[in-house]
Amino acid sequence: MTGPIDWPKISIITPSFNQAAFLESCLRSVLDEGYPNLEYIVIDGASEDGSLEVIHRFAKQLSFWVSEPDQGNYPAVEKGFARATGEIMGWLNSDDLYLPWTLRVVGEIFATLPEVQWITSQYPLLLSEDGLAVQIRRLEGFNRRAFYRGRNVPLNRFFYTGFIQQESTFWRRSLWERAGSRLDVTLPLACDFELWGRFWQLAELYGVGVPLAGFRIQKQQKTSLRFEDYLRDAEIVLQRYGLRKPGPSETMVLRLLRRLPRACVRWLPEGVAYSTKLILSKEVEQRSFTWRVIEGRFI
Amino acid sequence: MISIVTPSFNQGRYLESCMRSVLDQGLSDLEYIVIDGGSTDGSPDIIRKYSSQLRFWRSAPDAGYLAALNEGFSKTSGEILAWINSDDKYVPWAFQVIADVFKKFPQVQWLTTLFPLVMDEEDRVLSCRQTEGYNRTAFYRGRNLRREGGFYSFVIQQESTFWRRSLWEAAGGRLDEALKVAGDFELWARFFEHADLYALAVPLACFRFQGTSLSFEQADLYRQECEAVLERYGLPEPSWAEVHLRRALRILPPRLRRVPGLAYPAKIIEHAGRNKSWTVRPGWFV
Repeated sequence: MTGPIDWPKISIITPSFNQAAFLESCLRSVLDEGYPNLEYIVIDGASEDGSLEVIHRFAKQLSFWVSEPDQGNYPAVEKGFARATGEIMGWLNSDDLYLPWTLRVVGEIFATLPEVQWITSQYPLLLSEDGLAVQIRRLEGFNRRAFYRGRNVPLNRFFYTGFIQQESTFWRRSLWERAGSRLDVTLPLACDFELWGRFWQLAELYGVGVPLAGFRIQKQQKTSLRFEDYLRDAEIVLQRYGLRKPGPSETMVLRLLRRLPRACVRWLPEGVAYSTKLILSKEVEQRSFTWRVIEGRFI
Repeated sequence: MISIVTPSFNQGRYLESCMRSVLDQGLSDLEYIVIDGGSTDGSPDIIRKYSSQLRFWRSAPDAGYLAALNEGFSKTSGEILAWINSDDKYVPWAFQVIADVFKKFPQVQWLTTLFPLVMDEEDRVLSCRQTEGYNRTAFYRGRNLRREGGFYSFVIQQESTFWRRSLWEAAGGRLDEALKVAGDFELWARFFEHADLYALAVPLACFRFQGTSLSFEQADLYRQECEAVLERYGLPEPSWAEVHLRRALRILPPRLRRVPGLAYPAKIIEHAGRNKSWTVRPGWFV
């Protein structure tokens, strides 16, 4: 990259409750990168499984931590954000992981691209129960209209292409404040999805062309045990914005159109194809790189 | 056991980051060897700091990069082999995934990643790409050699490539020191004589982009050496007409691209998802 960077302050919240087996690798994935301007907050819900010992060991490196009974995962996240002072925000559940470059890539993108309000990764990564990367996918991008029609939640499996991976998503404080500085904890499972619904009202989501975090697939995961409930919550969210799911005939047309050569996609009207904003690195004079916004299209 | 060799020469700025990416993997069954060519930039001090975790290291002037690698590999005893240059890095899960996959699939002799990563001088990952997989015939025709002509698609990322000792020995058990820079490419050419290259669908390592990196300054030399290697195998480079026919075929949906005689089969290793394991599936590219 070119020149020194004025690293923006990044606030990360980790909600923790009886996940001691994974907590240390989570904390280390945040702290070991050594991001120069990090505010890391851990909100534990009075765990009784050794999580506290782990938190104690890292306490010096935490800006704030607390362990007391709470209302669950998302209320804990909200409690953490209420204490956060950073310019850039995100949260990492105690069983998930950042990658060794995550915070510096995020910090640099927000520092160099002032128009960007929120970002996520184009390459969501899945981890096995023991924390090994097992799957990575490339998503073509993200689009407001597509989101509200169900592109990022599997209501219609042909229209759906991939979730907005929560742990790979980061935003500016200004966006968070304009969106009400809160999570909607009345939806017990799809709070992240509900937040994206409000963010999309205010700003475009940019897809970053590198992996940023890993989601651990566990046997006993809230969202996997109650996946159906998550989908129902997500559908409730989309209905607030007047969900118009693609019908059978539209789905069939879409599946045919997806076979078109990429070059043709740009000639399709918006709404059939969707425009997306991507952030990719670009070589500068064969010596260094900079982050650039690229317009993309997908069907 | 996985055996890793790092050839080092005056890359002190990056060496520690490279070595830690090997040593911090948390794999108990690891053998790590560092061969330093008499660096004068403090590299030996960095190596010494980790010497208790190294199977072997030395620092003395040597006959160069490929000779250093050969010396390093001669000290290894592991079943799985690879090398990583002193300015590149593994991702934290690489060795455990490699160990699992080689254990599960005895037929896999060598593998590389389907998703090569590139990082900058500050260890920040700059790009991730999804490649198409690899094929012997396509390789010998120049698919993985960056040159004019339009057939090239992706290089085989050296730091993401791992192989079994049995393959290494069958292929001669050495890098070709007659070359100056394209030792990796020449080794892949010999490996392809014996076994198919599998592509593993997770990132394994990061190549460091430096404006002044060896392979950048010497890209021309590298290409010339690779072309000489491909000439030994005598497979024709695709004609202008074939290249354009292939491009036209890429317009078709993947299933219709499997034109006999044109489409190349590839072998992909991917994870089947929750409560499942790694599987091999066929891939195709034109």
